[in-house]
This record gives sequence, C-alpha cells and structure tokens, in this order.
Amino acid sequence: MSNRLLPEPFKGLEPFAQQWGLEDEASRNLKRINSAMENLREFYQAVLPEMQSIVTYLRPVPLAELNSQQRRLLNLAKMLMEVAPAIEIFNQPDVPNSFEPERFLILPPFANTPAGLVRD
Amino acid sequence: MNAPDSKPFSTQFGHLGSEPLSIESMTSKEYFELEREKIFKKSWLNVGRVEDLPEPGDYRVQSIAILQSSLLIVRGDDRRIRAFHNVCRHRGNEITSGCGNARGFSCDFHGWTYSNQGELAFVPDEGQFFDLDKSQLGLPAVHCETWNGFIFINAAPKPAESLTEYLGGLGDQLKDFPFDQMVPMHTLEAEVNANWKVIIDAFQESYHAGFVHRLTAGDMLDPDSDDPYMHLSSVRLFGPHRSASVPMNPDYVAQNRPAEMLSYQLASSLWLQSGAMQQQFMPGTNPGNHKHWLFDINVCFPNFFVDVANGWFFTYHFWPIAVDKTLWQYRFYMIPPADAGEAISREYSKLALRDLLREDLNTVEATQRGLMSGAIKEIHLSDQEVAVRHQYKVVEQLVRG
Repeated sequence: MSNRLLPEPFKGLEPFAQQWGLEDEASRNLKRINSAMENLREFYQAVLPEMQSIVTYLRPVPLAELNSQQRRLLNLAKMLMEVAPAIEIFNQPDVPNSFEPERFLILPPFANTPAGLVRD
Repeated sequence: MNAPDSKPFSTQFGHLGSEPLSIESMTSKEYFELEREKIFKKSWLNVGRVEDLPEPGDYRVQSIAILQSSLLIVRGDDRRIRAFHNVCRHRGNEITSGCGNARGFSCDFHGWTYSNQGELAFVPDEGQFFDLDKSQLGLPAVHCETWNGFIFINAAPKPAESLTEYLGGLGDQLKDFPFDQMVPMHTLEAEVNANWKVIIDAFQESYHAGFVHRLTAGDMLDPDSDDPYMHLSSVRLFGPHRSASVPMNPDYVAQNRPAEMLSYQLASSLWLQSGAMQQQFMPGTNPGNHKHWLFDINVCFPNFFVDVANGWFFTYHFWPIAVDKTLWQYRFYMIPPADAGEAISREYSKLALRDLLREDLNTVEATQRGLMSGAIKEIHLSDQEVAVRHQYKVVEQLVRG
C-alpha cells in the first residue's frame, strides 16, 4: 500500500488531494470562499483538464463501492465544480452582493435544524 | 410569447385588480398577529416528507414560532405518522427534543411516559392521583395528513377542510410528479431579516432575474430575443395557491464556462437545461405545455413551495418568527446519481442554485429595510408580478375577512 490519497493514474493531482478533496459540501464551500483567487485558479487549472479522465475512471465503479482513494478523487472533482463559479463567473471567491455566508447554513440532506428535517 | 406591451394576466385574473398595494401587511406588528391567528393557526402547513421518518418510532421535534408551539412528529409502531403537541398532560412540560427513534417518550419532569402512538402508557406512583383516566390523557394531538409523501399539520381544533380539499387544483396539477423517485441532495437554512411574504415574493416572479441574478443567471436571458425579460409563460391560481411556469432561453450556452458545460454533458437532469435536454416532460410539470420551459413555481399557501422540473424539485419553507424575521429553509431533491459522472454533474446543479439563492436573500433584507423606513406607503406591481399581487389579496381577505 502506498500513502497516496488518490488512485495511481491521478498521482499528478496528489499535491491538491489533502486540502481540496474535502468530504462535504459545506467544507468545500468554506474552502472556496476562504481561498485566495490565485490558489483557486491554480487548483482549477490543474484539475479541469483531468475531469474527463476522472469521470471515465470512476464511472464503472458503483458509488457505494468507491474505495477511499476513489472517493477522495470524486470529492476533488466535486471541489472543481465548487471552485468553477469563482473562476468562470464571479472573478472572486464568493458570490458578489450576497447574503453573508456565516448566516447561511449548508446542511446535509437530513439534518437536525430548527425548521427541520432530522435524521441521523 | 408575451409581446412587451401585453398584459395577459390582468385580463385572465381581472378580479385581482391592478392598483398599487399597501405595505402595511409587510411592516405592521398588529397585522402579523392577525396573520398568526387567522392564517397560520388555521392552514395546512407542510412539515416535511414521509421519507424523513422511514421507520416505526422515527420522530423529530419541530418548534414553530408562528404557532407558538413545539410539535412532535412521529411514525408510530403501526407505521402511521402523527403529530402531537410536545406537551406533557401532567403539568405541561415539554416531553422531548431533537430527533431519533423511540418506542415511547418519557417526560423528564416526573416520568409520565407516552407510546410512539401518543397514548399515555405509564404514570409513576399512579395511586397518588385522583380518578386519573389514562385513556383520556394521551399527548394532545394535532391534525396530521399526508399527500403524495408530504406531511402536513393543521393546528385548528377542527380544520375547515381535508388536506386534499385544501390543496385543490394545485394538488391535482402535481399529483403524478414522481416525488418518491427523488432524494434530498442538501438542505439550506437561514434566519432572514424580512417579512415572510416579502421573501416569498422574491421567489414567485422572474422579473428580478436579469438584475439580482445578472451574474449567476444573466446569460440565460437573451436581450435580443422577443422575450428579453424572461416573462412567465403561464400562471394558474387555485384558491389561495398559485403556480407559474418559467421559460428558458433555448439558445443558452454556458460560454466560457467549461465546468458548467461539462456538468451538462455528464447528465441530463440539470437545472438550467432540464427542459431543453428532454423530449418528454415529467408528469405534473409544464401544464401549459410550453416548448421552452425551465420549471414551475408552485406555491402552497401560506408558506410552502414545491417547484418542479424535469428530474428535480425543490421546496421552500418560510416560517415567520416576527413581522421582519423569518426562518427560511430550502431542500433540493434530484433523481439519485447512478454513477460518478452524474454525481459530479449534480454537484454543479446543486451549488449553482445555492449561490443564486444567496443573491435573493441579500436582496430581500435590503427590501425589508426600505419598507421599514416608512419612505413609501405602497408598492407598484407589473402584470408579471401577478403571483405577488395574488398573495397579498389572499392574505388580506383572510386577515380582514
């Protein structure tokens, strides 16, 4: 076993795996809005050209059966989607003229909230 | 397609009038109290879906400020979902909190214990009480019915009509939508400093899209087309409820947005192009059978939306806290991704809508501040804001009626 976080064919993305391959949407959004544009651009430019290969590689594996490296790779691809609007649309990390992120909760599908839905 | 000077909805719904509307209902504390008594304590209110409580014993507590109540919503051992006031019959203590799975609920104060069907099952030291009839002392029930997997409660002692009767034509329009084939992707929530109706207004017209969403969705509007303002394709009113179809720009391409384009290539159930990429519209959608259709706004009075499209739907809840404060909640549902490509694609759909919603919420707080300043006494609505007008007419009728 290697100490790699990503599957072997994507070892070129290894420098990004730890910090950008985050598991949940709220963490990925927080990473985006707290990153400098320079770092977002570096990540975007490294991962975007690999996206088709990532999809081709992961597609045959049922989502429930992804191993930890494959799952990290999927999260890295989701992070690319998270970062994309900052690069492609906003030209800044967060949405301009928008509701404060600190007051805006991004929750998993089933979450225990004042209004809401609750299941562990 | 509406010509720029046509006003079809004022003709279709002439009874709504066309005059400016008073802002009193958006700023007055007295009016808010009337809404509490005459609307929220008498209407069917959605509190989630049956999938949220899949197993016997699954429960959750929901505090509803506008009802001044904490409700226990629970699936009993008999699999039926019920709602109760979260209040012990003994001395009124709240019996539980949060969520989980339980055979029953025991009050922390003196241990009175209720089954998950609400019956009073056990009273410690029962012999010390006087003529206690446990069969009459179950948890105080709240009317609870389900429609198409949606759980509704009604706090009235005796609701004026059944849930199905209440939903009326809106229920008919949505009855065949495949809600049960979709799964929640995420929940978004915020306490917003605005009146509940002011927030609802931001989500029931498309006039604002080219301004509030000029960055996130501005390219969806085609200034050179015969529909530069993305006019609503059709509107339906069903008693207090309403439905409006939003068109899409068929020529939209995500220019210079390779990640967004990739998301469209990886799956067909995407928010912007859901209409374009499907030959067949899902049942319960696009009742006007419009060719260039994006999604339907469906407002279930007073505070619940079920907006549907091909392959996804989302809900909004607007829970009033005060005249200028509302708990806003959004849940986005899609057909579950079959593989990593679809998962990546759905991620983009999910966050694109999320970012756009933060633009809306920012705007409604600014609107509320403007209204509270007292600078204006009335608002002026266009034909395109017919759903906004309808909301205030319905509310006024109930509050003054």
